[in-house]
Amino acid sequence: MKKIMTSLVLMIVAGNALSHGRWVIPSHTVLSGDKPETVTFDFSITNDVFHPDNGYGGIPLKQLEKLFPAEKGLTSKDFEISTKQLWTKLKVSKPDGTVDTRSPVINLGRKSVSAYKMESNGTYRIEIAHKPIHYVTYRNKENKRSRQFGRLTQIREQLPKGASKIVATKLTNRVQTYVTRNEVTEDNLKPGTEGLDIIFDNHPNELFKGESTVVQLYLHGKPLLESATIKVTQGGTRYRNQRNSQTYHTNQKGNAVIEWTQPGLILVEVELEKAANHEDYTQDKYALHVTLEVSQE
Amino acid sequence: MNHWLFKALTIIVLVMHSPNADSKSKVNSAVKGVETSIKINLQIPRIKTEAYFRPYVVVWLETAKRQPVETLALWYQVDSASSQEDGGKWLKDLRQWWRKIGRNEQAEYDVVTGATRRPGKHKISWQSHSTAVLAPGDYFLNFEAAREEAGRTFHRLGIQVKDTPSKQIFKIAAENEFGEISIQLEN
Repeated sequence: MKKIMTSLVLMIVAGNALSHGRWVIPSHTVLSGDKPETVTFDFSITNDVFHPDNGYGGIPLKQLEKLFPAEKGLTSKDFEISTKQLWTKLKVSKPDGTVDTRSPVINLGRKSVSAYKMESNGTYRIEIAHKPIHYVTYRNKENKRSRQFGRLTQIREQLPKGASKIVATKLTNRVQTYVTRNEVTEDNLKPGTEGLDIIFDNHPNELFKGESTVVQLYLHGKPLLESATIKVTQGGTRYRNQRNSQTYHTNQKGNAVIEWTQPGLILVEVELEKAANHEDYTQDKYALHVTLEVSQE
Repeated sequence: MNHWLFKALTIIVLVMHSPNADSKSKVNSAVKGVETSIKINLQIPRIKTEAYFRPYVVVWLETAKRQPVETLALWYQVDSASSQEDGGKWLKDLRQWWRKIGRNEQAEYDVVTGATRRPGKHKISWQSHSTAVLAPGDYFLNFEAAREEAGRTFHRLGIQVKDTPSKQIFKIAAENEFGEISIQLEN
């Protein structure tokens, strides 16, 4: 029985970790003034855009015993919220080029939260960083689709006899946003050397309704010279019958023009699969989830 | 630093480099331009509300391609030595101006910055030759106001600097944070 329960829990976790929706919400994207400002970040794994559903790593609240006042009869038992196996970090790339990952991340069950005090002027890139996720999908004898977590080398022997169409995936997620205090800077808008990046021809902290942006996708620091799909979703899907995502296909140079049709928080997502030759996985999957703020003119 | 002097120096530098003037420079001195004056009568409406704070107001000129030309006036809660407040904290609420020009060109608008104004009529006067001449062509004159615990109003007026002497009058009807605005453009 215990074994069944464990595998059930694992499946729920798996479902969450694999669902495509994940995002970060910054409390502010544009700041002015002479004093340092704190910005909070909520992040969640959910298919509802900008409404949280599952925590996204971090310290489970129940571990913060000191927060529970004994006189009110609260104990960590009251906060036995389900938390995921992911250990996420708030990765802050500062305007001066240094990276700070020291901010604690707290898992509140439905979402994870963190905060950062911005001491310097310029553009910060905020990323929710965690290790890639490995999983294997296959069809069993009855041709039913199934999935197990782990690297191919670890679980190959656990796969049922007659399993076919085995695909072992290494999923690398990049969940990010940008915040600018006073003047904009460009250093944190450049592509990194690893993974999937999206680069904007105008600053991602100065987007207005009615304008458009030429984007360029990069893979491992080089322009992605193939067509890929970019999905743009306006926040508030919970209150719409249709998600109304806009889909853009990049050209063979990896370019697309995104139109900003409505003000608000917007989620820009890209997914890319690449065949891999590795004992642990047969494909690399890169997923990018970028939150942008579009202003009313 | 005397900002007026700084400005004057900037102009001299601009003029000296005019044949290769950077495309982002405020005014293209390489093109034959015309002296232009803009006179604005701007009203801040009296609004009855429990907590009234004077609005932040900015007026600026940009090219038809929406590149900044110049900030004509900026009124906000300027920090005083005695005040612990940081009035600049809310400059970002002048959303469009702050994103398009304010945050990147602080030195450029210090000279036109003043304290917030009380409700009533106010005048703004700008001469293009105080910086350099404007090339004939299309421009946008923008007005933006933001008030604490209240709304934000934005007007964009398309104007044309003609290549022959002219006098043009524009009016913008009152809306929310702005009363009626009248503009006289002369070159």
